[in-house]
Amino acid sequence: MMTDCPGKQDEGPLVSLSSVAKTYRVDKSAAVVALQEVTLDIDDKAFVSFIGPSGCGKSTLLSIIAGLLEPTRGEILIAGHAPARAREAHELGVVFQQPVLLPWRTIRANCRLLLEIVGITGPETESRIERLLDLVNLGDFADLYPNQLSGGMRQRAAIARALCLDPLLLLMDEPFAALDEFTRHQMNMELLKVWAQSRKTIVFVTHNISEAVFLSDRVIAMSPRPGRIVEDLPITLPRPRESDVRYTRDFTDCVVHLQKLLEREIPNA
Amino acid sequence: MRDRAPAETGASKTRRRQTVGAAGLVILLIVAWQLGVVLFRVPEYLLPSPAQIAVALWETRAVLGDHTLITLGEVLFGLLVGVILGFALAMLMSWSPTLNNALYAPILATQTTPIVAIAPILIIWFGVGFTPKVIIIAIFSFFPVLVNTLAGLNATSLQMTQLLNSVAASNWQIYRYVKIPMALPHVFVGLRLAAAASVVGAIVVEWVSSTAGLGYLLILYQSRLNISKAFATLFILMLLGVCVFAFFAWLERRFSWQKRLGIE
Repeated sequence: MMTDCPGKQDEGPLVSLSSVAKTYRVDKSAAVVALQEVTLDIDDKAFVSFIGPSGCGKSTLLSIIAGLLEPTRGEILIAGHAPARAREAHELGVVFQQPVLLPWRTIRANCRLLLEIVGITGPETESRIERLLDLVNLGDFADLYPNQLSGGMRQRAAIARALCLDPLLLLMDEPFAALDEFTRHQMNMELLKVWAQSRKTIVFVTHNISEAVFLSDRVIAMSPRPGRIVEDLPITLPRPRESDVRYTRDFTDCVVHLQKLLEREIPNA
Repeated sequence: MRDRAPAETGASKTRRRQTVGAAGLVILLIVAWQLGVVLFRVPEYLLPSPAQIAVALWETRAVLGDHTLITLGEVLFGLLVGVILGFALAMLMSWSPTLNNALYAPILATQTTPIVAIAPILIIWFGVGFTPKVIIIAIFSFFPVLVNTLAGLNATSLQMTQLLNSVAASNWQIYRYVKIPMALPHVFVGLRLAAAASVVGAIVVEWVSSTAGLGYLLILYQSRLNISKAFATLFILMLLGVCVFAFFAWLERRFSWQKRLGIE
């Protein structure tokens, strides 16, 4: 049942999905099952990744959690209430593959955008923006425009913007897919730092297996046609994660396990 | 940022060189025209020389001034109506898909119908005064504003909209904070095209039926075979078009974030 006060619950999972399904109607006779019966809980302050090939429904699932897409069936609860309520209570932060910054606003003003929309402004929010930009190493670039920054820096700005409203849940849809491999790893390290300091729950969508294993407490593997969960793997690698953890046996075992599993699921790929 | 300052100086130097070059070319053409007319003894009623046009310009300055003001008034007012109409329609059509579908065909019809054919009807309805001219100019100028503004309003990515939806932004907030500013560079393109179209519209309607304005004057001088004065009128008309165009180019430089940030 819905709780009246928005905010985190002390007990139970932060996100709870029960029998969530999504079907797209192509025309009168045909329908595509994008997502088949997903039931799952995500703990508060956890880092959970969804992984799988294109068309496995992982982005659909993220959009449903964000309340940007209505499921055909099933129920989603975020901190005990529906995604629509969670949006109104500013409990969600989203980061997409593209940074989608407004080109006419400075990085600082871009971070301020969502605050202006919900009507929270003032010196306190300015110092908060300052702190977040420092956290993502953009403190010196706050007054530059997006076209003056590199792709990685823009994506860091997008992360800072998502954190400005102090959401409970950060939803990230392939945020580093457009970056080169080296920048991607650097961004992974920074994201872990941000996660450790801000203590958010992160739901992360990617198609990069080692990225998912490196970042997460739990990797959920999905398979296409129809989109469904095929594996829910806890990652017990020690925290805080250093770069070197990627060269350990445990890390490689997890990656190989997921790789084989997903390759088996899509034999024609 | 570091490389910007010298790059900008270089750009302005290039621009000045281009301006000087363009002015030089125009002067060269005028000199060639004058020489050609004098050397080949072209009669004035066929092609007046630049000097003869300048004399005609000076002699008719009072008349030209009066009629320029009339045409300018029509152009500015018609353009204002057209720009407001174009922007408002674009907002409505972007806001509601139903309105978009409903308005598409009638709007297209205003552009496929020859304006010369509508003008006499408007003159029957509203007389030969100011109103039919404003209507025709508005019909000429709203369309480029509408098409470009609509394209601009649709330029906002789905992810940007979703970002705003993630904090439960209202539809109006999405327009105010993102879609309208995002559309501005497109709007300015539309404005410049509308400015050029508005002068054409004014002349067309003055030709069809009028008792004043530069288009009327042009017809009058042509019918009297006073070609020097017709050319003088044409010159003023060209100047008028350039001024209206330059005004909007200035607006764009002043108010477009795209121009300000040098994003292409």
